[in-house]
Amino acid sequence: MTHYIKLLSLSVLGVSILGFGCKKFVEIPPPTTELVTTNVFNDASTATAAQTAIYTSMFLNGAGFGIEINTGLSSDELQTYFSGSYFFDLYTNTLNAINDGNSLSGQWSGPYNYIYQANAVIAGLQNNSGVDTASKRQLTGEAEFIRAFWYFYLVNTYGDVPLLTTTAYQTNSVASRTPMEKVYSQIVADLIDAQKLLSPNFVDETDTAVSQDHVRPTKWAATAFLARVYLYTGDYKDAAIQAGAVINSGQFSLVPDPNQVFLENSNEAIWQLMPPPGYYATSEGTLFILTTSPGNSSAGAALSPQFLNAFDSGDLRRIDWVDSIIVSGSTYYYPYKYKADMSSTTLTEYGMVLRLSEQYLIRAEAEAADNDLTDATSDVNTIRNRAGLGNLPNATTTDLQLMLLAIQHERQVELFTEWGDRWFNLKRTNALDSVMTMVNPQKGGTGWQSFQQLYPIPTTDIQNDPNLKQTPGY
Amino acid sequence: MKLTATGENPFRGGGYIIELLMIMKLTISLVLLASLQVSAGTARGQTLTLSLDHAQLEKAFELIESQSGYTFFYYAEQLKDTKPVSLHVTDQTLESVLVSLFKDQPIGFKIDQEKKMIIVEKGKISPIKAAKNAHGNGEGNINGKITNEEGEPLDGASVAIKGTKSGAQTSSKGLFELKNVSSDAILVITFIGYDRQEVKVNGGKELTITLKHSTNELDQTVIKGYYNTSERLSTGDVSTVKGVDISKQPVSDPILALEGRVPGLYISQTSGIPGAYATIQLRGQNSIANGNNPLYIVDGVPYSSSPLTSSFIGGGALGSPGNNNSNNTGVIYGASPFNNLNMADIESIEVLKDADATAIYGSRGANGVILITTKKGKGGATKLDVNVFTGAGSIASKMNLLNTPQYLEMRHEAFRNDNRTIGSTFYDVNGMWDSTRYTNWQKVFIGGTAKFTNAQVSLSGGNSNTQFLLSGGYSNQGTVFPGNYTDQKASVGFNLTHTSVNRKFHALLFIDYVNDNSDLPGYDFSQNITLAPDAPALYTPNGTINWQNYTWNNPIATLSEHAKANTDNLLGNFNVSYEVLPGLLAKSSFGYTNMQLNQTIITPGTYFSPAYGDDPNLRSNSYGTTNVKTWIIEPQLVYSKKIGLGKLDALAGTTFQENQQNSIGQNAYGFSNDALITNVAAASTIQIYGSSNTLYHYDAIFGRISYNWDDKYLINATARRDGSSRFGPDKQFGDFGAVGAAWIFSNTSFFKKAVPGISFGKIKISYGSTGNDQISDYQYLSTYSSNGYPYQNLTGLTPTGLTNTDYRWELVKKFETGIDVGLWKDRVLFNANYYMNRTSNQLVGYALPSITGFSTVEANLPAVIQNTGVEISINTVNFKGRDFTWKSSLNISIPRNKLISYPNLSGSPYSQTYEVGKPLYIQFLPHNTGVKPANGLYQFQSVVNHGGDTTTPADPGDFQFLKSITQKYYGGFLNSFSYKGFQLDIFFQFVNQTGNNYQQLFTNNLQPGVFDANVPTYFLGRWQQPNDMTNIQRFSTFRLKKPYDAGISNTSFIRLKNVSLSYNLPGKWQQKAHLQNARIYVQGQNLWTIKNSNLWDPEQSMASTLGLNLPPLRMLTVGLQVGL
Repeated sequence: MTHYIKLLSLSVLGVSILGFGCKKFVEIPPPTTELVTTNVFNDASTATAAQTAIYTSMFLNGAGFGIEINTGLSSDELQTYFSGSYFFDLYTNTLNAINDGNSLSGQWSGPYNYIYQANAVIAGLQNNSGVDTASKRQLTGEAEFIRAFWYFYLVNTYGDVPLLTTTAYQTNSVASRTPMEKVYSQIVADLIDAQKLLSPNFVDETDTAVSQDHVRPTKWAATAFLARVYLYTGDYKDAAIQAGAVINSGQFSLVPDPNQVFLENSNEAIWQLMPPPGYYATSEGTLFILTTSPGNSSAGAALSPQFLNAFDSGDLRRIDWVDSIIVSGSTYYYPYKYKADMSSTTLTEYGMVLRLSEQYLIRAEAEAADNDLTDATSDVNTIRNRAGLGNLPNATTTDLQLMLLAIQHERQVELFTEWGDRWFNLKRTNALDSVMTMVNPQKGGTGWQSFQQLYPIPTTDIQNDPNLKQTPGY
Repeated sequence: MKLTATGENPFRGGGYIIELLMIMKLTISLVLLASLQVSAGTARGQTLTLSLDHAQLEKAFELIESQSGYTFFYYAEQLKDTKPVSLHVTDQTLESVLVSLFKDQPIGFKIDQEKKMIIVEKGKISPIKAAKNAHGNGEGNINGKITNEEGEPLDGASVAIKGTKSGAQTSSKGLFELKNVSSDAILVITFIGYDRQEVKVNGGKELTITLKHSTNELDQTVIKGYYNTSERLSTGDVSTVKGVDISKQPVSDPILALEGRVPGLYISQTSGIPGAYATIQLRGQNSIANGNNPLYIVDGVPYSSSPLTSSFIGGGALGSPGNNNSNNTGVIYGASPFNNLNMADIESIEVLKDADATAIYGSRGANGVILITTKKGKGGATKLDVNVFTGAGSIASKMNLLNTPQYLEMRHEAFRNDNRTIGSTFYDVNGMWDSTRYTNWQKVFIGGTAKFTNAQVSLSGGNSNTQFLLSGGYSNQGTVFPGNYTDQKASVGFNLTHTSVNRKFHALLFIDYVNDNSDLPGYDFSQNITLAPDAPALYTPNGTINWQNYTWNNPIATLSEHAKANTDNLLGNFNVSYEVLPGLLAKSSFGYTNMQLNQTIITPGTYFSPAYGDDPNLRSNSYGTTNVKTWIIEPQLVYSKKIGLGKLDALAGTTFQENQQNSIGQNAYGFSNDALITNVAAASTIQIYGSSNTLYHYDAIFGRISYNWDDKYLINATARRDGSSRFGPDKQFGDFGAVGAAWIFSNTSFFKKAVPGISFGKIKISYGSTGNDQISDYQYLSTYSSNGYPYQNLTGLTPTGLTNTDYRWELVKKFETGIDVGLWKDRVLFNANYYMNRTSNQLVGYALPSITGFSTVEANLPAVIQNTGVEISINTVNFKGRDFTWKSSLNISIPRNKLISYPNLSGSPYSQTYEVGKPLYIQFLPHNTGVKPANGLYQFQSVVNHGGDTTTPADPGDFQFLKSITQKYYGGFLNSFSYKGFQLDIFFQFVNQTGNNYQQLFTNNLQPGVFDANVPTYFLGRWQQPNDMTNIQRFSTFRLKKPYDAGISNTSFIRLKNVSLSYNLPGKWQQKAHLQNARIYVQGQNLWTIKNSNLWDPEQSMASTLGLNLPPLRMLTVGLQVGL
């Protein structure tokens, strides 16, 4: 029998001699269609491509993953014509973690995907020497800005959220919710750092040369966003300073004709998203503009009667930014800030993220809070005048409470269906409960419950992260 | 060559093994196989020059070996008494040198020119021995030849002398020699695939024996990939489905023909669209993640089992492979790659299941191996065979939907229940549509008949050295959809077998080419069957598409969308072998496959409602190509030797394999006119959806050694060391192996005497390990890839995923034991197997919370999964008369799946997905306690609040009730009757399972009352008023609660899967028509089903989320086969 064993072992040995090549054979080169991560951040243009890909995704993912539709339905801006989906639950303020948590997951996981990419850019540039300092500063600044930007939307949608600043999935995957204040501290720190790093001018793909496209975050984008963050955290003094810096930068001005505010490279644009070649409509244009009954449209929504009633008569924004369609005898109104819809064949509009008029309203509110009603009035009037309306009545400009209400109203009609501004402002000013208690029954809801201010997170994440808890109330 | 044990010389068949050095030498020559000389020169005319002084005989042998190329076979003991030799010769022949050398020695020699051997023999036969054996009839030497019925010599057949331990094995020419055989001896000849035969010597010296192909199930050849055996002698578990049985089924995908026929193989036809992927699972789910596909080998070449359909653009009505859910059910979307094989070319399909059979495939055998073997040419008169059938199919299961009054009642009741007024957009109930209309949309959209035509021609012939087979085929299969959609398949096949005159050299070449041209709609029209029954007419009276004032998206417009897929599939394999020494073959196979898929999905402007305006951007042409190239080289050494009463088989080989897959998906849009849409250049924009190039390298060394002692005891050991490029540095290699043993107890004399009724009995057992590397390529690399969209002229780069460099091979350990019993001359064959497979080191896309930026990372999970099962098959010949025969075969599989261990499961992402001790197929659901009589809503058992009911199970704590989507048992029952020229086969398939029912299907998106969508009449039993007792909740315009665990219920069924009736025209007629054979036949598939009333088609109930998909078709065909 030993012979057999010898025979076997030797034949195996013999074949193994052939196998010497085996080790080499199974070591294959990296894929030709992909780039190894370390190489991406050793070259300025690939590093830039890694950062700007976030902006393309933002454009394609409906800016804030439908944030303007979701919060528009939750609040009093939009009315749904879909009866059997999470849109209906948003509209009636009956979101339910099990049924809707995963349907709304884009709102949660999308920002975290961008935050991962931003963290990867920050870490990648830190660890590599192949990128010149100018590009490194600009890209790191943009990544920090993006991280701050999305954490802002996360805390405002969900309250406390896990604060992750690295790409290490081993620790990130067991993260728990971080108190909102800590997240805000990180947001502020990131924005202040980004202000220092970012170019004051719009840059092109070289990260340094000046571009006429308002499609990359600049120092002013960071400043404008910082102004909003200060406003949200009640730091009115700093909010006024930052908003003032943007207004006085000389880089931006209000576009006189409301119909031209959302055009590409509009003078009012602090930051816009550039569509990829072949895309001639923004997601807002595609979703909101109705060509048929809203029940057959992609968002299934039209403007609500409550919202349409909010306009003062003669407001150009009611005339220029709202349009309607009649289907089978019924009239449906829809947001018409963006004019290009699916059938457009030329590029006219970019996706607006930050624009100057909001800075006026931020400064106005900050000044009012600081009891500087004169400057506040002037800022509000700037916005009203552009909309073809006269100055605020004296009664308002001398009463702080009326003034603050007037600023909220101005925000409502100026920034409707833009990035969830209405919903977040109502929440910030503690007006959400009272407004919704009134509106919810009008929408056919079963009564407003305060926990609905925040959205449920996807149940899959609660499953996959043992330390993550569902939003309270769900 | 020195042999190291005493015994008879190897040439006589009783000898011992060749020495190791020889193997080593051959191992190396194996590599050089391509340059091997076929005829290595003969000894004739060759001369030797030697000069020896007082040299040991061994030294003389060495010199002669080196000059002549001949090899000496001897044992050390034989040389013990030899004397040193002195010899000086110049240019002498081998024979004369040997005569001089052996002149004064106590030993003799024998030259075998054919094998280039010199066999050292004991001295002359002693006179004493001769006298002793000389009683009675005397003895002598026998030379014989063994052939098959076609006259081809059989290589390696075993010839034994009954009642003795002597015997021989035939050479490659089918020759054998036996010495000193008593003239009244009986020879017993056995060979795999042939009937055992006993031949009386009767004093004959030259015998020619013809073996008949076996008709006994036990003796059919069983292909185990690298080697063959028979059911009788197999130590492993292999099921075979013959081409004959496959061709009885009017389907175009050979995998569908296996449904219900193979124990342990669960197949479910989930769609009736031609070319759709079936659900395939062999012995349960071994792996938590994807990667539960068996390994498919077509004639030795690995065949890709993943759909070629581009995940970038999807497969139209067949779905997109990107939609694959890894959620346990094995449902795969996209086009089936097996549809690109020609059914008619298949000789047999073998399913290898246990460790013994699969371990030789090492890392790829974890989920079993399915070997598809194509037909080979047969020698003899050239034969032309023509086979044509035609028929039609229609859906096998209809859904009973509401009629218009019932539908309107549902909708109004829903609004009433919710206290809602009917809004302006509810055209079906607000008077905008004619509420007296009724259309049976099921009939309109999937009620057609799918024509199926198939024609095959083959030509085969050759002689005993060279055989060929040429084949060509065409099939055309329609759909039940409106519009002109088809799946057409054309194929040509060629194979050539050649054996050299000296029969040492064999070569086999086969090339198979199939073109499949599929033209299907852009989506499955089954989705349209739930249109409101009062929806408007499709066309206006003047024949144009009716948009009814733009109140609906008329689905008939979508007919203009076409998803076309053109697949070229080239498969080739070249096999060459050379018999280096008797019993020793050096061989190699060279395989190549190239599959190319070109797809387009054309959406013209007419697809859309004119409400959208004439928008060029709506016209799109998505196109994609996918190319998969595989080559494989497998050099091997095969050794076979009869040793004593036993037979030794050994095999060693190595594999080098490369797979290359390239795919790209693009979308062109912005066509100013529908007529331009096929011309991509006319588009205003072309966008790249994505592209990928992947490379996979795989190599291995493998070996097998088996020993069969007197057909009583069998042992088989296989081993493999594998390397795969799918693992990171230093993690690439894995070792796998198995041992199988069998005891054929019926061959023991004790048993034969004790239990005479049992004609065959075998107990077998095997244990071993296999691996799994079915994960994506490059997962260990951290990479960025292009997102396809430029931003400021720079195309964006996005991270492809999270990276883990530490994952390694997934390991499956398989244990199996089985018993085979044959009764009454094998008229009843019973087989039962028990298996237990355990998988550890689970390779999964480990679920991560999305806050990490991604949802998964490739990793090994610490879980251990166990699949156990019992598989039983019984084959009986119930009646066998002169004209009438009735045979039955029944198989049943009882699979069980269990998660054995999972350290820290509760702290892992899978805490609400799996539970230790339970199957992987479980779902954590709230328990539906029925409908609350007070309000008509589903109510559920509340766990969190300690009992009581809840209508809103929100807390995960309420999701504690486990339901599985799985099979309890399944199998098939075949009855075959033959009477004179008639042959009738009736095949039933049965499955006992739990799966999704209507309640599940209609809660995803189609809840009754919510939309202007129809529902099955099943829902008429809903709650209507307080105190109604029912299990279906009220109608509502809102999405109400899901039924949760009530959505999963018993979905068992029995299906008359196949009936085939054929008639061979009488011989006289055939002679008159100069035909070799002529046969007409009728075949039916999916003819009749017994199922639960809460199901559409039971075969679809396994998908984890149900949609409205076309059920399998009921097919009926008639055909004619003629041989010329």
